[in-house]
Amino acid sequence: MIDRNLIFTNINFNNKKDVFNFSLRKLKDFEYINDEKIFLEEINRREAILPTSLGFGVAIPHGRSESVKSPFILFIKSEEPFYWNADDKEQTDLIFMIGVPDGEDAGNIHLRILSSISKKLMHEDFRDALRTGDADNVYKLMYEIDQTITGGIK
Amino acid sequence: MKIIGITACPTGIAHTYMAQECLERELQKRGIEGKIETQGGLGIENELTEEDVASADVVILAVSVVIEGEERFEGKKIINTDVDEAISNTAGLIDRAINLVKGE
Repeated sequence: MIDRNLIFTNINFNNKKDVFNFSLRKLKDFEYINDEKIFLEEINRREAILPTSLGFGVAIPHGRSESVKSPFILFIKSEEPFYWNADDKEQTDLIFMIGVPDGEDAGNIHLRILSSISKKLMHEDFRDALRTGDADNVYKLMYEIDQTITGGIK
Repeated sequence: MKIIGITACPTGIAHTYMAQECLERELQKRGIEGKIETQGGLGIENELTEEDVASADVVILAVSVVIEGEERFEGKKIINTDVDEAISNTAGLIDRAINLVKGE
């Protein structure tokens, strides 16, 4: 689920739509989703219920969908922060796009890793590490969380 | 003072757990006893027991979906909010809970 190919740090965006277009293309290329349009509809639907820009410069667009082939976390650090939604108080520069297939439910290890990363995002030192690190560092940080969870359960 | 609560969000992947983390850290920072149940993709975790509910002064329901077991809190002081506030205005939310207990 943690994939170095889905971590992007030297890149710049200034709106949500471009982030989605770029991300969906990558997810399709690396075979995490089979239908870009269906997944886009799902994340937009979720976004409409409750915006996923959380403050702290972090946004986490996410969805559960039949179009997701296997769970993923795609990370983008935009070099320049931008307003995720027009009425946001703060700008966003750290983006985690999360997808899980339909039917992943309680007790699932992928959901546990995602919840663990979500909690970590609430810690300033973790966000600082994401902001200052290059893609390899970010991968390492996320991989460590993955190992803590999967190692603990085995 | 003891503050308990529940967090739950529409997809149950991220916000539920972020809100829990924020509330637990704020309570810990202030030295307030507390326990936060999550109702998310992992099911119900850190479930509030009858004793937890009985001994709590106030309940924070930071939920953006219909939750299970709300009847447990009948007769308790309750703050209804969403996961968003629990994440973006944690300190303010805890202040409100404390004020509600104090009757302000």
